[in-house]
Amino acid sequence: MRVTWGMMLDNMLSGMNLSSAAMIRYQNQLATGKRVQKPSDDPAGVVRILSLRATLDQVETHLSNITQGQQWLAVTEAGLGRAADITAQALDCARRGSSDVLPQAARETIAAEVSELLDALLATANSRHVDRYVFAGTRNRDVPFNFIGDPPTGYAYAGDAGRLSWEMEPGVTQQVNVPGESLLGPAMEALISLRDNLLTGDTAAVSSTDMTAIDRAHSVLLTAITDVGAKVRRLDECEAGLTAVRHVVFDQLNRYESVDMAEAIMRLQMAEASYAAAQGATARIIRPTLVDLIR
Amino acid sequence: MRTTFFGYELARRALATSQRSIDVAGHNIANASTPGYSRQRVITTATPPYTVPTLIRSGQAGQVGTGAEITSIRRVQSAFLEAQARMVTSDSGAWSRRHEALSRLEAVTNEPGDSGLHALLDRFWMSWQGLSTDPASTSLRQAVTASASSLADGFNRVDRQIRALQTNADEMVRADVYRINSLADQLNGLNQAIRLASGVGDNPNDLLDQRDVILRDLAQAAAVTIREYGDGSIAVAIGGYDLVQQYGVNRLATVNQPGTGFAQVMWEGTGVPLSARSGTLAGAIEMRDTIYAGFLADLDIIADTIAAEVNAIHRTGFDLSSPPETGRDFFDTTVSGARGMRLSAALAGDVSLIAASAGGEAGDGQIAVAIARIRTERLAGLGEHTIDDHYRGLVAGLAVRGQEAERVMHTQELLSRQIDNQRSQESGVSLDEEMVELMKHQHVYTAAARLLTAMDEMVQTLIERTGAGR
Repeated sequence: MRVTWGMMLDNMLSGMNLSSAAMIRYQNQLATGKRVQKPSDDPAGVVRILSLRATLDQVETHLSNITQGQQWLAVTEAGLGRAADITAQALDCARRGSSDVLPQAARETIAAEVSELLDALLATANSRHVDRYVFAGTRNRDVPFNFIGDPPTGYAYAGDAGRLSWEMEPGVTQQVNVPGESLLGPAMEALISLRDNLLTGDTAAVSSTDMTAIDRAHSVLLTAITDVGAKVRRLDECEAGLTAVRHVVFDQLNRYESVDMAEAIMRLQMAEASYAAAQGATARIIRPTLVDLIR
Repeated sequence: MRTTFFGYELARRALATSQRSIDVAGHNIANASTPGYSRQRVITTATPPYTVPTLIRSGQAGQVGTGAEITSIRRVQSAFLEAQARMVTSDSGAWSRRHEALSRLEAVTNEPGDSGLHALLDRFWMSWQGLSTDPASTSLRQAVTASASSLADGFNRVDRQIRALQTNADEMVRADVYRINSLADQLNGLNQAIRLASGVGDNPNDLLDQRDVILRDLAQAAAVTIREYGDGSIAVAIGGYDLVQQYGVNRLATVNQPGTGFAQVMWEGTGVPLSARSGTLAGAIEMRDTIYAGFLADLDIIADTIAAEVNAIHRTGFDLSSPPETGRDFFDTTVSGARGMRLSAALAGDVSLIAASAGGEAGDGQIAVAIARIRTERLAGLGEHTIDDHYRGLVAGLAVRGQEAERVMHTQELLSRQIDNQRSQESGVSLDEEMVELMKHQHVYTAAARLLTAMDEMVQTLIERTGAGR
């Protein structure tokens, strides 16, 4: 075999280029911490990375929806709880006021007490989460419940029966609001009627219609509270599930995306060693030629 | 009878032969690193012997040698290796263009990155999810228009950059045509010079080397087939059509295509389109018309699908105006494709016009939920894939082809190095060898000079001792 000058130089040069290219690649990996710099580095991996990122983003969005839903339901639950307390107190008032032996003045005192309860009920019915009224359906930027007249003779509902449904899991929406008017309206009407009947001293009405109405309104509220509790539990379960998914996805993403430092450093060192070897060999071979030896 | 001065001529020939051999070794050494140079060898033969010209042979031993002479100076070269080198060069020309196109596309799409279209799409769908939880919120509405604008900008930007790359590829096509024409002219000139030299019986070694170098350059631009003529000239054809003929050349010309304005390559004055199989010219045309154009078309499909799907749902929704209005487009679709993707101007100016509500109530976000759900829908227009899937498929296709191009380029490089090595083994200058050659002929020269001295001394002895001239 004839070995020529150009061959030797070419081979040595390409050897050095090869190992310096490897060095650059591992240096890049180490500097950025990313295993995949461009799609062609790992075609299958890139697709996995992109879809894992999309999944991660979706999970994050759903988790944030759930958090908002939980807050919304917490406000709702508290409001309904207060309303149930109020109806319970009103029931107590009605029981006391229904007694025929009570002087009218005492009944009027009880009526004043009911008026207070009515105001508290109105405040509760207008509960807000940040800037939205939770019992107003989808028309929730404006105050939903207003009393008509002073003292109130009825109420006006400015909200609607719309549903607030948010996506909590991929493809699954959940309603987070409760129908405000059908839950709180009867209680208001019952309280107004109780107050009026106490003022007029109509104990028969107080003990029959009013007590029945208040009792019904109370049990409606209790059912709603149970219902909201179930929703909260469902959201909690959802959250736990999604958090687990997020952990897994995050872990996988890391595995695809991040560089294995130990491996990259080892490979970089190998590339450095072969680069140094190529340089050394070049230096040794280039020097002596026959030209140096004849003289 | 031997003539008295016979030896002088013999010594002269020996001196001349070794001198010329040293010259050739010097030429080889001088061109040790000249690209495409083939080492030259001196072919020395013994000169015709001197036979005593008598009919009746005397008792003398016949056929006296008369020395040596140089019959030719020949380059050491393998036509087979040259042809192989040309083939590999053509292929790697095409693949290097392909690789360049794909890696530029990778750079433009910037996946997996935070500013890639995939990330922008993610953010777009997420902003609708966000809006669905509080549809009347101005800040969430602004988040939707902001993410939609940056998505549209992303599509516009990628489109613009790829179009710039396409224009760049078109310039490469024109430059390659120009280069091929100029190489054809050079080949034509060399053909003439070689014909002249061969006509008088010379070996035009250096001209042949030059022609091989030019042929390799040409092969890089386009795959060529070569026919040789007896007078030393060659004809070179690209895709079956002669570029260089024994006498004269056919040039290539570019014609601007209607619409795109890109160059179409034709044979000048004929209207026959060029059909190049490989080489950088074919690579650049593929880059421009297949790789870039194909990616642009795919992006257009995705952009149009997003705009159409979002608009279809958005039109059914109601905005925050009082009374609520409906039937408005979210994306402006006056210009279709990735280049024309744009948020509707009215919406961009007034976020309250986003129609998030299905029934007209401000707090209702059903439309926002429906739009956010487009992300997971399998769409008939995308072959029953989701938009995300389709885009990922596009990136995956790019990645697989990019990886293949890189691998093939690497293989081609190895192959071409191997052929270069073989060629170098055969035709390259080995300095050691030339030094040995130099020493050998130097010694021959010294010996020949010594021969001359011996002859001279002999004649001197003859003249002086016999008293001639005394």
